[in-house]
Amino acid sequence: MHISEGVLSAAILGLGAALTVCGTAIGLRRLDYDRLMTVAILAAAFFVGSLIHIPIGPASAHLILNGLLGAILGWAAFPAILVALMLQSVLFQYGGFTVIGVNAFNMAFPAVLCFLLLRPLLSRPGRMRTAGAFCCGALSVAGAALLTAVSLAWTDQGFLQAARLLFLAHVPVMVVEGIVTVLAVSFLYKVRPELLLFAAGPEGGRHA
Amino acid sequence: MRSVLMILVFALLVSSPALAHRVNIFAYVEGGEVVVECSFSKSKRVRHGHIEVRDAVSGETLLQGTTDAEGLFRFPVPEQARTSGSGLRILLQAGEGHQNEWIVDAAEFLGAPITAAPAPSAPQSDTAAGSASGGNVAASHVPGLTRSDVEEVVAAALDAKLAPIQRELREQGLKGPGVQEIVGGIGWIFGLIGVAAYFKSRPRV
Repeated sequence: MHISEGVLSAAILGLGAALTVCGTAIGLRRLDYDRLMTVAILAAAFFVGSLIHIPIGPASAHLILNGLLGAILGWAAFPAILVALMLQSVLFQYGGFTVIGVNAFNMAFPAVLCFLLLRPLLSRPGRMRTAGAFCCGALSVAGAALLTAVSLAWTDQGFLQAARLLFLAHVPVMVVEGIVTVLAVSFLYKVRPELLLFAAGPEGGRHA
Repeated sequence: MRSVLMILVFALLVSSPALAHRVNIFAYVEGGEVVVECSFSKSKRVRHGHIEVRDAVSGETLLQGTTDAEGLFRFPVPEQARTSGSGLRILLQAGEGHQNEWIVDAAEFLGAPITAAPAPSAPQSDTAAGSASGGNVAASHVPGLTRSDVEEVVAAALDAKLAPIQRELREQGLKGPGVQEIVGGIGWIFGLIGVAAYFKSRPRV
């Protein structure tokens, strides 16, 4: 998912950066003082999550955890993912500095979209929440793969080939992230329900 | 459930392990050839990655090719690079947005013997002749050995001696992030949030 430096054209880089700036601005505006620490913890989780490879068979892709951030943070996933990606590119040399805008949008936007779409499911108890959390985790990864393929559509490789490879390699990741998101969400709901945006009562969407 | 498993198995069978954070490229001169090694990590090589060799100064594409199953690509030092004296910029495109480059300095290959060149060009034979006359004093004691023979032997011995160092350099490039980077990064995140908390905090009454 980390597109390298020098692959994309300037137009796509600019578009990605602009969209990321918008998303981050919305995320920061809706961010509560009380939720800052949650954002920090999840940004750290995202930062480290990329180091965890899923070694099933020959295909090993790394965790992304964008769905988890989306499910818990909503729009605040944008600033969290942006900061984590910046540090990954500076400290680990993953991706590149000019590509951060595109990479951040590719990972954060599907997560936020999943959160907005699945919030009705997530706020219901029991099995519905489990299903919602699983979909949020899995579909965010799928969306990120799709957006990455779209970004690569204007390179030599073309959209279809990139999309096929990205999807196939991320099927195990999607399953694992779905499960991780279910476990994290159900655990948080039991222990600290106030951390979850969607569980914050009938007016819970106020800061979403 | 069964269908999910089927999809999983299918995915594992079909997909190529082409996803990683970054792709590594390392190139060195061996004999008269430049050897390019491409890998995603220590064990995963870049198969069929697209390689483009450019002049480091003018940016002109000198040759192209793909890596083999071992992630290796060998090519003789291009004539043009020898004459122009500028380095080589080797660009690797491994697909899915993975790209990296390595620059081979001209000094690395200018001293290397010419192997695959079909016909040495005029400037090279000039320098060879010039250096041969200069080296005659040393070489005259052993009539059977020309200067180029000696150079070849020395170059081979040096290659053998330097191989471990090259391997170490290569592995340094492949090393993933260490504890320092990870802990440092987490520290940065919490530091930034601390700054944000400071600015967002409500003044105490």
